[in-house]
Amino acid sequence: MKNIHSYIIIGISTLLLTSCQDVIDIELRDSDRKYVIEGKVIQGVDSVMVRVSRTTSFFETTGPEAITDAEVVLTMPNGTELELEHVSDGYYKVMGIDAQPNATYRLMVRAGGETFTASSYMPEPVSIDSLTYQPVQNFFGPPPAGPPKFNVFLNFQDPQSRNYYRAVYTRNGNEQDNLGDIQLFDDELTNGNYIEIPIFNQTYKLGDTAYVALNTMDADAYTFLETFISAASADAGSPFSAAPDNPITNIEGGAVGVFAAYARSEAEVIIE
Amino acid sequence: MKTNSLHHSMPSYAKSSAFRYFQRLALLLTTTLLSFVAAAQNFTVSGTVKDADNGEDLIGALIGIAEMPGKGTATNSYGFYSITLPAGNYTLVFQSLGYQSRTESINLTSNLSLKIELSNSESQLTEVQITDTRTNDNVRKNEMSVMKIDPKAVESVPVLFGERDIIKIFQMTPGVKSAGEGNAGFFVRGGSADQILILLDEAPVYNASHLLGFFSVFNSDALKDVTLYKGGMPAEYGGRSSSVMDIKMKDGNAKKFGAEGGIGLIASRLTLEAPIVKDRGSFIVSGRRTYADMFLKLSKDTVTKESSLYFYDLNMKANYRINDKNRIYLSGYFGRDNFGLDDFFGFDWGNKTGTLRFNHVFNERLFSNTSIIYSDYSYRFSFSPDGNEIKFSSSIQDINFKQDFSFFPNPNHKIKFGLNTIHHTFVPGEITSDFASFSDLKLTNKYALESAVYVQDDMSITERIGLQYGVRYSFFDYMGAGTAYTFDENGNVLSKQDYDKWETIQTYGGFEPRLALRYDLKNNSSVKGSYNRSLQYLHLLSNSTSSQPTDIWVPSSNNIKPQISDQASVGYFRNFKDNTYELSVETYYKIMRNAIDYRNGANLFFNDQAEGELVYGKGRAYGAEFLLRRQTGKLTGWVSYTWSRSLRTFDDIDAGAEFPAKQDRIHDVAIVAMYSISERVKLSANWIYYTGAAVTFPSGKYEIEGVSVPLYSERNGYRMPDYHRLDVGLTIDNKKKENARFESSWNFSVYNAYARRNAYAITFRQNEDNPEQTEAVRTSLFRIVPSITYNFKF
Repeated sequence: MKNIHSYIIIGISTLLLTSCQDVIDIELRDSDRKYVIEGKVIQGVDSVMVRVSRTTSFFETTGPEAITDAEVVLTMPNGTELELEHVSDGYYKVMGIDAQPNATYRLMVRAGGETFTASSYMPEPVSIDSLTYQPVQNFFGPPPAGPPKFNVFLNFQDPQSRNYYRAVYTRNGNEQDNLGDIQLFDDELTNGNYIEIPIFNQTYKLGDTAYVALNTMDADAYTFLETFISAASADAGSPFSAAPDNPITNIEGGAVGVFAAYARSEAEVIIE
Repeated sequence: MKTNSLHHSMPSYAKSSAFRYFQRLALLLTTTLLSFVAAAQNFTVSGTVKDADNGEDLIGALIGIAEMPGKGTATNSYGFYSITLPAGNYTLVFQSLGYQSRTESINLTSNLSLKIELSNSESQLTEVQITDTRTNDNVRKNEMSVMKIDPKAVESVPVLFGERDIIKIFQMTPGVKSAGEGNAGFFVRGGSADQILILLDEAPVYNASHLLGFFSVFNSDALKDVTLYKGGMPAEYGGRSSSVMDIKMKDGNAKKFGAEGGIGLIASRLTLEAPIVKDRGSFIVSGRRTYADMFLKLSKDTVTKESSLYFYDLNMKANYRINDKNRIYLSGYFGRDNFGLDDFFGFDWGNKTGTLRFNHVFNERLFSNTSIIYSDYSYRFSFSPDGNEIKFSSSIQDINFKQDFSFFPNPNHKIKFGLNTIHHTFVPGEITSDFASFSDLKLTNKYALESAVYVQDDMSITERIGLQYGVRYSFFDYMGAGTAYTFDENGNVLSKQDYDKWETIQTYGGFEPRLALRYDLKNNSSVKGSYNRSLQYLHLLSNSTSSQPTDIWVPSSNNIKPQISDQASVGYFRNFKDNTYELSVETYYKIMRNAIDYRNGANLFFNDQAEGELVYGKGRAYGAEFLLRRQTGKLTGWVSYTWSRSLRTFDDIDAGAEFPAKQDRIHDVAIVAMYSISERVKLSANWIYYTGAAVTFPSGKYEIEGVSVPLYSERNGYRMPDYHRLDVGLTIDNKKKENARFESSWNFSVYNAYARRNAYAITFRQNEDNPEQTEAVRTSLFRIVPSITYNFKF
């Protein structure tokens, strides 16, 4: 709901304005480099991967600087400490995890003499009632040419508590879950309702298999994702958006990034 | 009930003690008035000053007394004047810019009523050689930091799309900055956009722009007088902390029927005016509509074809003089923007205002005006993707009662006093929907009562020293029915309390002293100084750095304190060459308290607890303004230069370091020139230059889940590139047939004539070919925008 009016504004201005865009050179100062931590614990996934890197200067073209010598420790709800091993390029991994919901997970990263900590609560999963599909409707004009396309709808009962969702979806096994087309929503305006929501960024053809996982997370992880998406969006810095700011991290100690524990329920449907 | 005092020396007081202050002020007022009335054997000459052609009241026309240089008065907003003098013979000189002056000899042995009509200096050019009236009121008036522009005098200034817009003219004067390329929003002396009180016939206008800010809501054809107070605001104005733009609509031609209109590229205008009863009453109706969306119909794309995008304005006003002592006015404004995509999506917003006024002349020296004012701003949007509809709406409504008196005891004093009370209703948001999974929702309405009493005296102490002083006491009552929340330092709700209808949730109040002093020097020059304090109880919350129709007005509350601004200015004023050239240099320093900003990731949209998303800080602004202006002759226009800073400090932003506000643009230059090549051809040009606005750019980047995001380290630590552009215009009057009333003209203009790519926005993106590479993208809007407008009048 929050983004709706920025779409409107962008729509109007596109219609109204004969604007033009070009790439220009701008000199930017470099700030102090910060450590970047990215980790997730997912219900039903038996490994945990954490990435540690550092920020680079803004116009750097070589990609993030990987930190390969960090100490990374995951603390399970029962107090067990698991050390993650460096695999490659700043990715650290531990196997044999049985992550259960309704519990808090903790992460500690030590790098360059600094210590960073984070914790994330994995809420109860919200089960998917069913996946349904409908032919894609074209609101404007005649139906699209070519073979019929379908939207997949996710149907579930939203619990009475506040819930924060992230839908992960695949088409024939190809996972669509990067932040670029992330489907993030909460129940601020729909609390306790029966929800029927389409998968926005993926259409399906006859014979396709659609898989959807409904992740739920705590408020801090959601806040990070929400502020991250707006910071990464194309209109950040335009007069139609708020003064740009850093995503709100849930990592303490001066690093940026996120540590999130996701509860997960899954469903699959074949388009026939 | 919680109360807060704005004065540290004063203990906190309850509502009843506020009324005691009202009482005290009333007492002070009465004694002041009595002391003036005591003088003996004086008589009063009073009346009105009007335009001889159309009967419009002339506002601010000067009345001088030849025998008493340096003394005199001016007409008030209703064209009324009054001078009280000892019995004797006098010569009165009536002057108004753009009119022939008139001299009247009077023998004052009893009270005298004198109605004066002044002829337009243009209208008789062919008959007699007229020298334009040139006045030195900018030097001789006590007030400073005031900019007055006659909409008629700037008609030929080139503007974007040829749409005459008085606000865009003000943006080219010192101390006023435009909100951005082509934008009708503006900032005054480092204040924010919501700190400007915009009054249209006394009614506050909450959102003064159309089409995302590219046009102002003011149709210049319907306007008579526009005055901007940048500082030293008279005590009669209050409610916003930075400045006041007082816009008066025309009353309508009281002599004969008249029509005026224009056909432009994107909009057309038509104004009709006529007497109701000749010289007793008149009306004016003025409308404007854009038709840019007509071009969309030509599009092959169905979505574009079925889209709508337009706005309209309707100004209406009628007045009737019941008798010499009583007159009524009714005026209204309706304007709306409409945007729609087929049946799928709709978005509309607009203002409605209505003012009912009653003038009463108690006696020759006491003039009264009573106003009842209604003001409404609302916006709505709706989606109906598959026949089901979801609608959102939000609004603010005011009902306003105002009583003002002007009292003219003797030529040394002009006294004004009055009171004002406004009932505000805020409707922050309501969602209704046909969709099963969406609940109908309504945020709690908010209510407030904003009241004020004021008294001010504009006096001359000696022939060379003048003083305008006054005080305003304002009082704000934020009340139920409603819910008040308290928040912890991170914006989480700590407690919640419900209040009944009319029950006070929070009150604020305070004195607002206003002072301006003038000292005349030799050579038609003067120095002036002023100080004013202003309190602001309403605040505009905005999710974006530009102003949008969806910005929300909120009252001061248990969380939001009133914004307070204190400003001191000093200036030097001088006229040259028989008042042909006016020069002014002003400097100011302003302190702003309880400024508002937002938490990172603030959600202001449809949020009952939006107050928890706010952070509070302070600001300061200072600068120097230079203006050289010529208002008469073949070449008119001005050169304006402003050097200014506007800085803010918030504990929650950049760890309390001072940072520049976005309107902190250090250098600002505008040159506006209009030149009459012949009687029928007028050439005009503007050149504008300003330092780029302060902006936040990244100083690093990082990657999460494969997406790169900027790392910001300081608020507004960078500058947009400097802005400059040239606009040119040409106005050709068509040959007028002899004795025909019909006049017409063509106006041609080019906006941004040398095609500078001024940056409207700079954004950053990953390069399409190489995602590891980030690039800066400049968006520029208007380059060489030609336009043509046909104007007519009969």
